Amino acid sequence: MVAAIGWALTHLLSEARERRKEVRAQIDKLFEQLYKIEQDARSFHCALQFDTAKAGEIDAKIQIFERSINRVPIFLIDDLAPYIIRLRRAVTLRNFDLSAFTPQSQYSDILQDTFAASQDAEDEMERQYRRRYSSTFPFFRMPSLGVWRGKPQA
Amino acid sequence: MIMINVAQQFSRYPAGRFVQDGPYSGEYFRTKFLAPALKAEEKVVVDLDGARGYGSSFLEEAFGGLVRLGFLKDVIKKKLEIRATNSSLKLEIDEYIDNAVPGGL
Repeated sequence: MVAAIGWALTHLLSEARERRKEVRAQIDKLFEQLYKIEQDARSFHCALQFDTAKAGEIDAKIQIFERSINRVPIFLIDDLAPYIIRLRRAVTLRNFDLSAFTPQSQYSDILQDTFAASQDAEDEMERQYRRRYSSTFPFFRMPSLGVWRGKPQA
Repeated sequence: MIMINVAQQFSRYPAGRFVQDGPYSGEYFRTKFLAPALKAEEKVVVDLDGARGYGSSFLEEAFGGLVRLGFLKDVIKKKLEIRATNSSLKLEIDEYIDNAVPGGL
């Protein structure tokens, strides 16, 4: 009986650790995507000429980033949506059209806004990860008997 | 009711704010698709899925521009339904409609 309980507990903790590692890997990939978006935004806005292809790539990357976020099972999408909006807006609302493009300096407010939006999105994803997976033993939070807050993942 | 699928009926690569920015701008989408549909129909469903991403300047001009064109915000909100797997798009569009100034820039 003790052995069975011990086995079950070990198995449970092992499974929890594996899920945590998978989620961590997904989130680390999202951080990489975010970094690339920021780099692309920087090179786009600082270029001497408007680059239509680059603008399209940036739109696509932000869309892919949001789709990737939707696939992380622990995320509350309603809480992350404002950060995605802020990132997309920072990069693609101003200076993102042929008729209104001017080369930006490295210190322009567009790039500063982009950096801030990227950092805040990263912090929110990390916050949601830490809410689900504690940094202390047993390294995950037991779900409450109530319903999860926010929109359930598909 | 009318359904507008942006990727299939307009472009998979919508981009730019004004018509001088390119062939699939927010201004062109509003002028040729959105505004006529809102004038003619009681319900307009815009499906944003399938396109290769949307820039905020496109969204702001297409949807916020409706208010500048003279459409009442209440009427837009009542008639317009946005469908998008990426939920942030709908929220962003709602903000542009709410924040647009009638007759403004």
